Amino acid sequence: MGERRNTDEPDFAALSGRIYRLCLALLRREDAAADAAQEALTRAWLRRGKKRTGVDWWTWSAGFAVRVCREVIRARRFEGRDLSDDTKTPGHAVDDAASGLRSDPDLQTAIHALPNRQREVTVLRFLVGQSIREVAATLDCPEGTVKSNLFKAVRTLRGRFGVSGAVDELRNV
Amino acid sequence: MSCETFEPLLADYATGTLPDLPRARLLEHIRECPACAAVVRDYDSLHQRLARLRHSLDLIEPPYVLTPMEAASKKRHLTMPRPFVRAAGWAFAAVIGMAILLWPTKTGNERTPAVVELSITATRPSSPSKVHRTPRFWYQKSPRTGSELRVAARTPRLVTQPRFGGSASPIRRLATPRLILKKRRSIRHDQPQSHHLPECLAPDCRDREKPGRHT
Repeated sequence: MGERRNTDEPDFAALSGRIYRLCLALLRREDAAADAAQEALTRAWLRRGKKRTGVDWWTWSAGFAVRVCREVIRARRFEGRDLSDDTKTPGHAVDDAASGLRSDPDLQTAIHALPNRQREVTVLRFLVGQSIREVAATLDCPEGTVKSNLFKAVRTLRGRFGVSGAVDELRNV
Repeated sequence: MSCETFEPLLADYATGTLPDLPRARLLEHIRECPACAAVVRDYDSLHQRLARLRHSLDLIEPPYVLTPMEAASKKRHLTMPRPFVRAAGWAFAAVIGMAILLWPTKTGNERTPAVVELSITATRPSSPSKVHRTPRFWYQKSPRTGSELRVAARTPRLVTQPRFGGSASPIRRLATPRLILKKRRSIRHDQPQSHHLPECLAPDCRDREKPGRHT
């Protein structure tokens, strides 16, 4: 018959919150993150028949969330706009619930300026709290690739925010 | 031990995947090495900032998100046509299909004879008036349809020769042998009057080694 697919229903209330925060960390906009979270959860549910038994709903949905956010960013860049530009529009209301988004804007800008893959692994590892194995399952790539991209991202961030000064170019760390 | 030995450990320390035992060795090394100690301090500072950002992100309350079932039902309602629209579509497709099947076909005289008449045996025509020669092909009038059919090529064409000049296109090269090969099946070698056809490809042709013009 083949491997039985796991089609049980998850706790959507908790799952939607985590997916929303992941999209918010990637997109830095509340409305875009809400739309992306909705789309990601819908896609994950419609394609739940393809989910393998050993994969949990969080990892399954996070993969779709990353792909949806990737599409949104690509579309915005094609239009010549950046996601962070819209936060400076006059109509943008200050939301107390989104105060976490405004903490440490320099670090968020630096993370957002990373290449796509490095940004995704950084957000999944440090802002969402996934392990290397979970990040590899979410992005569907080997763990070595995840560690390599993560190290490059952290080295870039250290070069910008390092307390001890510029990165020692003689040492590859 | 030199600092190069601890570079892989520093890389794992940066990503937060360093196990406990190597971490202890690294911490012992940085007591003696100020350069590695500075690197570890930078990574610690960065990790603390990332942890604070993560904590503030966890405090954000998400807006109301439709459950996937509700969103999927809305999506289906917008994209899938209603039942009667689907039925009308099927009825229209059925009408078009019946019209195509029952459409009056053309008569035999108006058919293109290119494919149908290729199986006609190429024989010497009995009446010279039914045959006319072109510089390159023999033509014969079909007794069934009355149209003129191209029977065979007078001049066998080498495969390597381009047909219309320029570089020899593989598609054009295939056109010539296909016509001649189809004629081979209908050639009746027992009748001497059919020998006027180019027989350079026939198995028993005496002129097979001399591809060229047949007189």
